[in-house]
Amino acid sequence: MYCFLFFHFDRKFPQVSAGSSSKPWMPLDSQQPNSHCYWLTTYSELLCVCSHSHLYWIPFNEDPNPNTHSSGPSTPLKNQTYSFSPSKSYSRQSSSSDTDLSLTPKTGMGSGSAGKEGGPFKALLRQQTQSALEQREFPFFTLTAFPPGFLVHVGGVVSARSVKLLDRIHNPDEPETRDAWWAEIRQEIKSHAKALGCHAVVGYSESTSICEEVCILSASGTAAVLNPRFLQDGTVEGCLEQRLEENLSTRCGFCHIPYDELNMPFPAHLTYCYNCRKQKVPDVLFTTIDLPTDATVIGKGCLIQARLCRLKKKAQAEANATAISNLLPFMEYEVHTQLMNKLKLKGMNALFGLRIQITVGENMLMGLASATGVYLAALPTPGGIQIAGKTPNDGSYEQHISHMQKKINDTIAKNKELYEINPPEISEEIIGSPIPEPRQRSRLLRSQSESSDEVTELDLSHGKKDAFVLEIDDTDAMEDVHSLLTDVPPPSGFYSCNTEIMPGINNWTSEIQMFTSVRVIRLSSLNLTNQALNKNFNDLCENLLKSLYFKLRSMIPCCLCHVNFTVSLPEDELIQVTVTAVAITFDKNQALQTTKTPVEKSLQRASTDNEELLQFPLELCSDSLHSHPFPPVKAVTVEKASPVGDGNFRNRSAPPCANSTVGVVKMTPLSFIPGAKITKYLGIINMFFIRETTSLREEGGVSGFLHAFIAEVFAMVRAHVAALGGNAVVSYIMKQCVFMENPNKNQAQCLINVSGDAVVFVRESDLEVVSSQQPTTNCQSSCTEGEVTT
Amino acid sequence: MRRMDKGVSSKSPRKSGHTPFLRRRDLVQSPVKPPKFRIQVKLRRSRRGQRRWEKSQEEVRGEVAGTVETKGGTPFELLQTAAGRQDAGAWDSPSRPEEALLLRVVLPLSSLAAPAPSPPPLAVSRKWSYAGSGCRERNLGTPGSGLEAARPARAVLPPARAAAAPGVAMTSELDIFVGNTTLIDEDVYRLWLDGYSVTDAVALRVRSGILEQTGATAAVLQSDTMDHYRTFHMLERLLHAPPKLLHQLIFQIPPSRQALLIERYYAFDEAFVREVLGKKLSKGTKKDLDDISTKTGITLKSCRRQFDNFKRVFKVVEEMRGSLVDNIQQHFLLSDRLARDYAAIVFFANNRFETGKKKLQYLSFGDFAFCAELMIQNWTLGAVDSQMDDMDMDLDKEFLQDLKELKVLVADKDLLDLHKSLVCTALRGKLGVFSEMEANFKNLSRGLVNVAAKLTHNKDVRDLFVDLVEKFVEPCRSDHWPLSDVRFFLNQYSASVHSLDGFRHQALWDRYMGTLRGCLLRLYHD
Repeated sequence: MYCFLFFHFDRKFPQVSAGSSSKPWMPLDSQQPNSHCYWLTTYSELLCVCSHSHLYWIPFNEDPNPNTHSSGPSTPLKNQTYSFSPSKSYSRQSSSSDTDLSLTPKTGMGSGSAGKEGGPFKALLRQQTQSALEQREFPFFTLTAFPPGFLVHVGGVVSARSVKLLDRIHNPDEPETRDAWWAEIRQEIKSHAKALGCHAVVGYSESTSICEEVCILSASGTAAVLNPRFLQDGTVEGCLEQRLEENLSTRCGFCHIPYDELNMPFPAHLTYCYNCRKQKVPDVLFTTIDLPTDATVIGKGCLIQARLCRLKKKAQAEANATAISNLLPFMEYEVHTQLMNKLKLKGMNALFGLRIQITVGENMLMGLASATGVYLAALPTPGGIQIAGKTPNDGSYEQHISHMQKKINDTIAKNKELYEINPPEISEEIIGSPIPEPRQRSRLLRSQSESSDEVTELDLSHGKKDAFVLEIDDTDAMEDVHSLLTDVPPPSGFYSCNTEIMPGINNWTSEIQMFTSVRVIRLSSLNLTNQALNKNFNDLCENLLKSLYFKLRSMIPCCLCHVNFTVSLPEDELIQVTVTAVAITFDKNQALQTTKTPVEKSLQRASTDNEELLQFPLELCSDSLHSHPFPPVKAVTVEKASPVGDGNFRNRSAPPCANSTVGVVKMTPLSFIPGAKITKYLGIINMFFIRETTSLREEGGVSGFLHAFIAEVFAMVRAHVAALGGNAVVSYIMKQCVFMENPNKNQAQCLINVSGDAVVFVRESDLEVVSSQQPTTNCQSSCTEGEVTT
Repeated sequence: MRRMDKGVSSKSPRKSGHTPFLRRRDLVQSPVKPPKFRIQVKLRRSRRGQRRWEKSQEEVRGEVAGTVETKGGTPFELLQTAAGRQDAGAWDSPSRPEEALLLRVVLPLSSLAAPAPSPPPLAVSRKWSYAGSGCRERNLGTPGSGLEAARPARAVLPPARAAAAPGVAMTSELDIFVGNTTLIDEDVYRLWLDGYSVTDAVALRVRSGILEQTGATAAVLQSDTMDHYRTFHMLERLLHAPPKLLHQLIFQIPPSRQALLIERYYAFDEAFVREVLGKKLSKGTKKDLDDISTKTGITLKSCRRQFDNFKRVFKVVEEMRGSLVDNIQQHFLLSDRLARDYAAIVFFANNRFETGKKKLQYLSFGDFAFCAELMIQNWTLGAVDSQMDDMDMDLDKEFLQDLKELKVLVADKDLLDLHKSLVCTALRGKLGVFSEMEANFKNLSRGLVNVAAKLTHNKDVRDLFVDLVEKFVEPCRSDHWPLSDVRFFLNQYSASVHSLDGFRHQALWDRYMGTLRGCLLRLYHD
């Protein structure tokens, strides 16, 4: 148990610190007079209920900032809070939300120092019951993958955003203000999770986007109910075995709604689970976590992206923050609309690994949401998309609409074929029709469009299923529908996802290719409209993906995993998109065969996480770090491997490729290496690089400069790992890539921050040989480890 | 602070009021409303005697824009100075020649116009933005902030880009792809080696039908090609010393790919190598490469690469001891075949054998390489004694001197007759062209022996192949000797010397004739 969690903390540590590390840039005095803050809860079902959500937003639209003038400078921390969480959530959360914004989050996970990351973990060990977990200040997990059975229910995505001004901070060095800001947001997240009937948040992450003095703080995660047994004492194995038996019957458990059906926090569209037929499930599920290993998926998954730009007037401080605050909810809504539509278009019903990134620039806001769509067997089949025109009298218009409708239906059919989605037919009687007024529910409205009465006259059914209605009431909507159809599917033999592994593919070969691609485009300043901007951004991302497919065509059949898009707006008219992903080939022939059972898979996965991989030799645990109650956790969370540890390791094992001049070091953003077993963790690599040139032209312009720089960054990481005796970097992530240029002066600067875990891996084919060679080390470590853990 | 400035400056000058510089796009955006500025430009001599600009600008409310007053010096001079300073200093836009041209066009207009007509022509505004940069400026209207604001405004939008912007919705500034394992596309590598520009390479790739195969777009192809070209460009300096490619850490390339990169980089075109074979690998020859390029149809870039490869290999192995092929293989990691070819090229370049004569045009590089290998094996110092303090590159001077002794074979009439009768007796009935052989024997023998005797002089060494073709190959060919007969004859011709009692230089003869026989047989074809 210790070790399992230990590794995942290790792995996800960079993500946690990403949130806290950004803090030094945004300190603020607690007397900060005017900060604009709004929070938005995004449930997976948001779009099903958008007619309701719409109502929430109308007053916001009409009177965007009613309190601006009343907020006097003397009021400490006066925030304008717009919450879109259902009102019920307040009654439920009352105790927790009132607790303390003043509390310094010393025991919380985000307190800013790396050493505290173990906090919740230790707490989990101490507090042996579920209720105890609920008492935690922030029962958040940044992990995205869990042992089978750990997740009991998943509620949906919860997120909160807050717009803050950085220039009013009197004491930039003090962390109080920042802590208070994050505390608010976490509190909000917690309350949203509660509203969904969940007591914990998994797949939690925090991020910031800063432009001048305005800062958007964002946090999101997935509300979940966790299995209390895992939080008690005992080994993973014990729990595993128990759970696995249960899992065989309830593989769909995590899809079941955690909230009370009759007292739902929001109107949702529920059906009986298609797997067990006992419990209720929502019609779509959005999560920020990886697909649980025990989930039953039909067909393959695919990367789904929603892209959005909104122009914003240039403004200073206060006015700027207000403008951003006003735009944000609409953007969030639009992003969700897009995600939902694209999901329907793919014929899928669940999103995993959802990451919504809002970037603020001087004159625009960019939203980019990436997720992996899958078809969960437990959820109902998604309905189609119905297009409705606003002026039904015009003949040619009607024709156009029906033409588009046909195209959409064709696309859905094609996608189903492409992703091999062919769920078993289930007769209507078994499922029943538990949803009242399906017509009202399924109606999908755009944010700008007003609800109209026409809806009742339309035939909303698509086959037997309820269809989404896309209403085309203006050119904007037309654009949107068109943009839906412009997303080109990857060429055959290619799959892409932003989760660790692609659902539906599990026969990976060992060939991997990690890459980073950076693109910067300059927008012309002329006649920039939202549509043009959207189109440009969409084209940018699409072209980038196409380019990746083209470049990696030699690896077909392969899958782009962990596709991670980062958008930044370095200047007025510049959009920078950075993509890091790994392409892994798989065996097509085996892919056609029946896949391993989920249990088998999960066992495999669990079995890799055993004690002998520990970063530190056991002597360290028992001797030098004796006084610490939980040495392994402590050791990992306290920064990098200590020199002692490194030294010990180096003495023990020779570099793996001693015979060749330059050893090959693999890099991957995933936590594992296909076809190989990780035999040793050597510690976190966290490196910052700054490069400046004053001879930009001579180095081949900006592209040449950055190309060479990134190649060198990779080389330095590889060299560092090789020096530690490792032969791979897992969980690699490029956290920052800030690029600035001044072609007039022939100069450019770039800052890059990368991190990952250095490991030693052994090919599974070589495994027998190696294990016979190193019996002493393994035995020794496992023996001593046993002592520590028990 | 920097960002703050930009924020201010990027507003249109009309709005901000105190930013006296117009950017082109501003004007394009609103050509109707004239900006309200007057710019005074003074020219005077500074203490150093250099011309220095001083210019004051002032906002004049309500006045029609476009007024340019100049004092001291014609406007033409003035602008040229401005352009000159720009070139030296602040920015270096790729469209500089075009800028200069525009300026000249502008001149009459601005020098004529006291109050320029409104709305002002585009060109005038461009001149403003031009004159403002790189020169000292003083903002009288709003001191301080205005000055601060103005500077980054120019930095944001260099003229080249401003010109490109209208009409294009977005332009790609930067587009890179870096893999942990360096991706190498063999086709693109070939195009790069062949010296095609990115544009040409893209066009060629499009023609190859790759777009249809992969469903990609031309833009994707362009970006992919650019990426590869950049990678190759970065790899090129490593390829100059292949062992470096193996030991570098920047690019993680599988060994098989490394070998491919090196092999292809050092590969050469037959047509090209025939042109430079035996020439001195000097700057002079390099200057002639454009002629070779037009003659052979190989791009100049590719010619340069191949020439530089020859020269690089030559320089490295020039002073080295030991086997030439081994040295090349060791220092350039080439395959055995390619290393042999390079050995031949280096050998020819060192000895400056003439290969370009019209008579020799029928010979391929392979023919010469074969001869070179034989000569390296037998005629160099290293051939006699591998421990010798010399290299494979130079012919054994002593041996060449000794070859004079062979002259006796033709000078001594008895010896020549004896030799002839020996050969004729042996070959009678076996040779299809016996009578021709018998008639020509003395000529042929004289030719072969004289070639040997002449090798003492460097100049004659250079003409070795010309002489061989002239003295032996051509006479035989004119009599239509079949190759088998040539072989018979040469075998017998060299062997029967052993039976000549009066001839003492048997070893010398064998060393000479053994190699020459091989060479001649190889050279004897149409």
